[in-house]
Amino acid sequence: MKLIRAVRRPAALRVLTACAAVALVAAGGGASQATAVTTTSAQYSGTVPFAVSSITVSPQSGTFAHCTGGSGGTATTLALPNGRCRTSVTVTEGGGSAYVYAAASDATAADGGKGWTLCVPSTKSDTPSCANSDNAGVPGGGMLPGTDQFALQAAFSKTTTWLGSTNTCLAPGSSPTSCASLASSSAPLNLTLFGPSQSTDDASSFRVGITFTVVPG
Amino acid sequence: MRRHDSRFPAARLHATRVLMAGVGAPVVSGATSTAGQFTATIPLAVASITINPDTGTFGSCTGDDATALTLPDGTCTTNVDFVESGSAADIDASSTAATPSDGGAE
Repeated sequence: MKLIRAVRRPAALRVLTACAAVALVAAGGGASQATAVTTTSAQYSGTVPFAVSSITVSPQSGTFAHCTGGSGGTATTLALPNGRCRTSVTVTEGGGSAYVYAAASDATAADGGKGWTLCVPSTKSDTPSCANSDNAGVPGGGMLPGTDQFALQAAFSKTTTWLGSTNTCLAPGSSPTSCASLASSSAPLNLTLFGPSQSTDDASSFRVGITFTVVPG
Repeated sequence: MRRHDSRFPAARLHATRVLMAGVGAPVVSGATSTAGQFTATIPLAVASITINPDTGTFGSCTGDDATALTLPDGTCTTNVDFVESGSAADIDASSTAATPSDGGAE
């Protein structure tokens, strides 16, 4: 029965017991039983319950609209060169504070032809820079997309960011390289697509995917 | 019992430090991270072209007869109007080989 009770003691209590034994030895071994313990170590292992963050995107598919710029387009169709269209998606982060990231894919042509490559008007290590030297009207400066290129700007939580092909923090911190943690919340993400200067493929539509990732923190 | 209790806050503090170390470098590698996907269609303005007329006859030929091509190396001209509408577009043209009306060699 004593053995059973010892097994059931909390790990931390076992640590204390081991420490007490060591203390007896250090005191000179006044008790003969302590001489059997010549050296000892103890290990504590603890489980840290971790808040599981989750992200929900609604809707999961949409269509760009509210188009402007370019030549010969309509409010619902992207015109070239360098027209722009907008869409919106609601991003809900749950389960505690977390960092929220987004990454965009290249755009695929509906007819299977040559797609468009994601670019950023400024410099970003993971994504090609946009190549149109006619750069009038780029928010924040930089180049507009060139032939078969497009750019995606995300406005989220009062912050505007150019999306890259790898995770981009949607809520940058105080320094350019830091990311701000967001409390559980639901907020709209407004996406503005900047079209290419020219498109090699003449498909009637293209498609782009955006992946959102949440990391607890 | 008091010493026992005092150990757990220390353990929790240690665990917190580990988590904060992960927070300081926001690398996307957490096992508990989850992801969501959104896909969007980009409708493209369509360009179109209209040709008028769609058939015609060459004229204004060099040589004695302005309505007939003379050899060698005579020239004739014709005009066609085209209207491009919709999105801005490049306009390319190409020509077939000329086929004789009697079905002979081109």
